[in-house]
Amino acid sequence: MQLTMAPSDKDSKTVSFGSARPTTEIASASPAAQNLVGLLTHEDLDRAKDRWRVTRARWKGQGAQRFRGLRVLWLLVGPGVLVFLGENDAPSMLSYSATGARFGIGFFIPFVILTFLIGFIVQEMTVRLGAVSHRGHAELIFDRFGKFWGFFSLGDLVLGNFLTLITEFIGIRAGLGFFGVRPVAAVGLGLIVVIAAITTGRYWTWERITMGLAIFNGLFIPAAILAHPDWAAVGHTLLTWTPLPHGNHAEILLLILAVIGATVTPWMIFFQQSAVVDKGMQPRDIRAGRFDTLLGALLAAVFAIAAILATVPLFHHGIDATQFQGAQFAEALAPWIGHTGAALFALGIFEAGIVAAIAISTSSAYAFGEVLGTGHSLNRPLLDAWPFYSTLLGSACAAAALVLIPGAPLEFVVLTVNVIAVLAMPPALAFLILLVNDRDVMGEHVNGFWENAAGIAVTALLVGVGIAFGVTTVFPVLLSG
Amino acid sequence: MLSLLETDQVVAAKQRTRFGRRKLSLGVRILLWGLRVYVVVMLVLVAVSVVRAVHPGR
Repeated sequence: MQLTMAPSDKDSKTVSFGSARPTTEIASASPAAQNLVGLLTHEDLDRAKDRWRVTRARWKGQGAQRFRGLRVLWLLVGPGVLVFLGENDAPSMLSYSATGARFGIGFFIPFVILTFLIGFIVQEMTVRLGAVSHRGHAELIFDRFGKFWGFFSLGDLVLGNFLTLITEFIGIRAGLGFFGVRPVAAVGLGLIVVIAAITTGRYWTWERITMGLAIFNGLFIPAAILAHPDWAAVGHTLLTWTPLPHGNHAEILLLILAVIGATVTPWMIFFQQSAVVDKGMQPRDIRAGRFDTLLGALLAAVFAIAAILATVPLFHHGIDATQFQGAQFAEALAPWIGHTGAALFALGIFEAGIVAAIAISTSSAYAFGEVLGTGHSLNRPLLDAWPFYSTLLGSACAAAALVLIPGAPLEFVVLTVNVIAVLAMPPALAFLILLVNDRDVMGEHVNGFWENAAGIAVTALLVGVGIAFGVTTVFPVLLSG
Repeated sequence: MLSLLETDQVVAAKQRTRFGRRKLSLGVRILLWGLRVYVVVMLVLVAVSVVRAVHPGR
């Protein structure tokens, strides 16, 4: 395929750097290689360093061959793990906790696994799209579908991200509130961590720092162990999906939506694709990218199930947790799982908020940078890409400030953020599926039949669940009881 | 350095290229508009749901 030269599409000239296929041509082999040498930026050099490490790890005979594959995987793991552990954010972990407290061990445990399978189906497409096109999701939508649809997509992302960021700082405040930390200090600490993560000016360093924080999502595992769950019941429910939840059907439907929204959201599509691009992944890395995404989904599913199990004692003791916010779960659990278990739970909520705040504000910054055509890479120094970093920090600071306003109606946001995420997914999925089937963009890496079938099935499921929510909102008597 | 990156990964090359607008078929445009209307309607219903949750007497 040939690329048209920007900014003027009217001329439709072929690229001055030659008519290369973007999927595989190495820059040094391009007819424009001579020109490119003089135009290399700091971002290019950093990305090339990351690629050098991957290339060296792939060379035969370099180091211990036995671990060569593992080293390559280690180098390429990142966007997938971050997107899924970032999506195990404060409202998501609280949604999982609410199902455990409300229904105990049952349907929602295998259902969570299903939602992560859905998440994997979606996110795998973003890996291919980013690795092949070398462009972020927002940029591709604007390029292929035009500004009208581009701004609609961006609007969905900005709205969803800002609401979600607010809930992350609510989680940060609640998590540290368990330890008596005042809201201003808790929120301030959260902002400091976000700022610290981006000051490195290197995507690789930012990624490893954030992954290091994200792994603490696993704090829900010891909390779950301290809850002494009935493992036989867990095994039974994994096989049979029973007992089914019973009670108020409208509440159950809302929880189902919240759990789905805890796993698949528009920001994940934008974030992972941009991170894959920023990491410098290429088509040859797609298999590793799939592994990375699968690993992220598996880890997040395990941690999510742990959050459900950690709050099962509340179900067994008849504690009504329907109005609980973050710290209240931890406080209510203390008599049953001990102060240590409750502290681990609270720390897990804090971690969930921090990592998500970093990932979500970064996804907003990537999208704005791609649309505005400004530098948008974590490989750029702060001053070099100040619009990118300003968007990142600005969105985080605005959300943090809102959380500190006395009397702010934050309960609206907490109630709806995951539901809004599910409802906003179908259009995002439509663009994603259209792009991965676009042969001009994807070349030989377009979706196959089964990938399309899975993607369309996921979209149909989300539309169906959304319509069910809509019908029951308009006709609440349908689900009363 | 250039042998480690694909052409389209170099910032200068990427800035000078675009994939260009694709022609949207009637079916695709109907799909995109339909999903857009779906989201707007759903957001209204979410607002209704929130108001009912916060003011259950209404």
